[in-house]
Amino acid sequence: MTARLHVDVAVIGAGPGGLAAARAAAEGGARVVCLDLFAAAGGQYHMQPTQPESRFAQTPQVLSGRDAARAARSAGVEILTRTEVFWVAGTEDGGYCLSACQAGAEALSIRATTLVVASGAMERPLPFPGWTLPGVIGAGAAQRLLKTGTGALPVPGKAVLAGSGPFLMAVAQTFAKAGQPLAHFVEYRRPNPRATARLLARHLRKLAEAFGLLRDLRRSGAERHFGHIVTRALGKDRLEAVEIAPIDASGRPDPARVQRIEGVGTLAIGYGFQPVTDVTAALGADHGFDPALGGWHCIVDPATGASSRPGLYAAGEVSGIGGASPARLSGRIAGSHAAAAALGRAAPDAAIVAPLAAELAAARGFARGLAALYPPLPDLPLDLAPDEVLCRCEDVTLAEVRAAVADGARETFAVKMWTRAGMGPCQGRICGAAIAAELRRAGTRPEAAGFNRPHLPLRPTPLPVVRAALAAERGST
Amino acid sequence: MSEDRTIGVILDGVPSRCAEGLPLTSLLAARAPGWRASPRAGAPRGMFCGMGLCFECMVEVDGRPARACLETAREGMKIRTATGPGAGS
Ligand SMILES: Cc1cc2nc3c(=O)[nH]c(=O)nc-3n(C[C@H](O)[C@H](O)[C@H](O)COP(=O)(O)OP(=O)(O)OC[C@H]3O[C@@H](n4cnc5c(N)ncnc54)[C@H](O)[C@@H]3O)c2cc1C
Ligand code: FES
Repeated sequence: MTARLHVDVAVIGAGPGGLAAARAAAEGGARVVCLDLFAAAGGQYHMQPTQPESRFAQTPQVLSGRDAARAARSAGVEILTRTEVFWVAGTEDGGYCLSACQAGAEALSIRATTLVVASGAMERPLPFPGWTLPGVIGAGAAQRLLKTGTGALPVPGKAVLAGSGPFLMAVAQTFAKAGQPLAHFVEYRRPNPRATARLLARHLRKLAEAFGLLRDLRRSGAERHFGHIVTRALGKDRLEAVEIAPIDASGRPDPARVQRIEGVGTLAIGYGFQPVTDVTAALGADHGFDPALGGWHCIVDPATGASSRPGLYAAGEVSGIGGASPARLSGRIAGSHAAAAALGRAAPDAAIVAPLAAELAAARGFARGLAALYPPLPDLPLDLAPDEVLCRCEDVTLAEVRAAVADGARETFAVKMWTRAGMGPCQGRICGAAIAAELRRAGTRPEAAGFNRPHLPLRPTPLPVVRAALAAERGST
Repeated sequence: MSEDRTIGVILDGVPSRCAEGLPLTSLLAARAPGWRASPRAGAPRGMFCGMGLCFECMVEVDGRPARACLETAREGMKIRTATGPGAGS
């Protein structure tokens, strides 16, 4: 049995972007469903704790998330959690059909006149020697372990936080607030106080937040290593030690000054975010590549949230990394336009939407300034051994990818066909950045290398659920 | 954390107690950070992204494949890992 729904507007993702879009669409008179794979609405920014006694149970981020979900529900939005969209397709009448899996077991098929994708972001993983060892996790994964659950890191031993970008400081702040010791903080870039001051002078509202981050980084007690990089994670069956080295003038680690940190249980590593584009890419919307926006993102008109595909809107990080406030603003804009389009009404009142667009431009401006302070590392900053795994799902090594490139593979897709890198359960979400870096090393720009075109199912889904949802889509159940 | 809210789960055949609603990644990593073997090399793997996108944290919950990072502990839940002690029994 497949559950079926008919709505005016479907929203994928219940983070700040999706919740704002869903609410705005419902307030615009549309029947709206909002879907998220997590057990609680909120996305990354409004991540909800699982334990009521958690130190994070009453933070502004948590409470405002609960408010946003409540406001959406009171506007009439049906929020379905533990619901993962594994396929989307256009219908003959110009609408959309979504196939989802609920609680890992039940099929759900949804018809929507218009669709807002607010699928958010993920970390941009960069391989380094030893990165597949258990105990090496994403910086966001460490944050989730601290904010949900009991608020402690489960693995005994020192914690090291490494990578680059403002989010690293946010995670250090989470360590401080959780009262969890952080042994080392390793940031690839050196502080740039003058540029930081210039940016904050233009966005004074961010000043308190910035000082709070600096204060909590100190409060975390971590030994701070700016201009350093993790060169290696070591251990047999699990992480035991980490090596770090200072970055020299050429941007590469200085092998003569490697320092070893012993007794490490957790290495949390983050090199910035990339948009989660599987849904928008599956629908064939135009995507662009901009390192300041996290690389490949769905191109939208900022005034409406409309993508290149009629009836398809995108909001939040999927339309370019910018953080929670652009997500919220772009969500409101996209939601009200998606509702108007679905109901065949004129575009929403310019007097309401125009100020939002102006606010969005300002918020995006700050995000751009921040991205300029922490330019993403374009290439693999480390020399990897030929047998280092680039594609974790299929155990494809650097040597295999290089052989494919030497044989003439010039696109991400060709590397996948040659080597299987990107064919596994993650569909290239994890290895994509590394493959693009390898192709660039061989002279192919990321714009030309492209990205893996997603295929059915976007996320591994039990076969009976896939069959049931697709049968319902064709109207045969 | 509070004693009154602990529940019983069966982890790789072994009855264990933990806080109700504890994310399975916290439960599993407290035993050992790795609980899977990679497909070709058989190398140890554990959670990586923590947000449902990498599928490195796969386990079996009540007989169905599941991502440990998306699941929380419920009374009576049966969790099986690929490489944990008692796996395959
Ligand atoms: C790991 C991580 C941690 C972060 N932590 C912070 C932080 O602490 N503070 C901060 O200011 N910013 C943080 N950010 C930045 C964050 O992207 C923004 O703050 C904000 O949450 C973006 O809102 P959004 O609505 O665009 O995306 P998100 O908040 O990411 O929401 C997107 C939602 O869509 C869901 N989704 C995606 N695809 C599907 C699908 N196919 N089916 C069903 N559901 C789907 C996701 O599970 C997610 O819940 C973090 C980002 C990441 C990736
Ligand atoms: S840790 Fe990546 S899917 Fe669970």
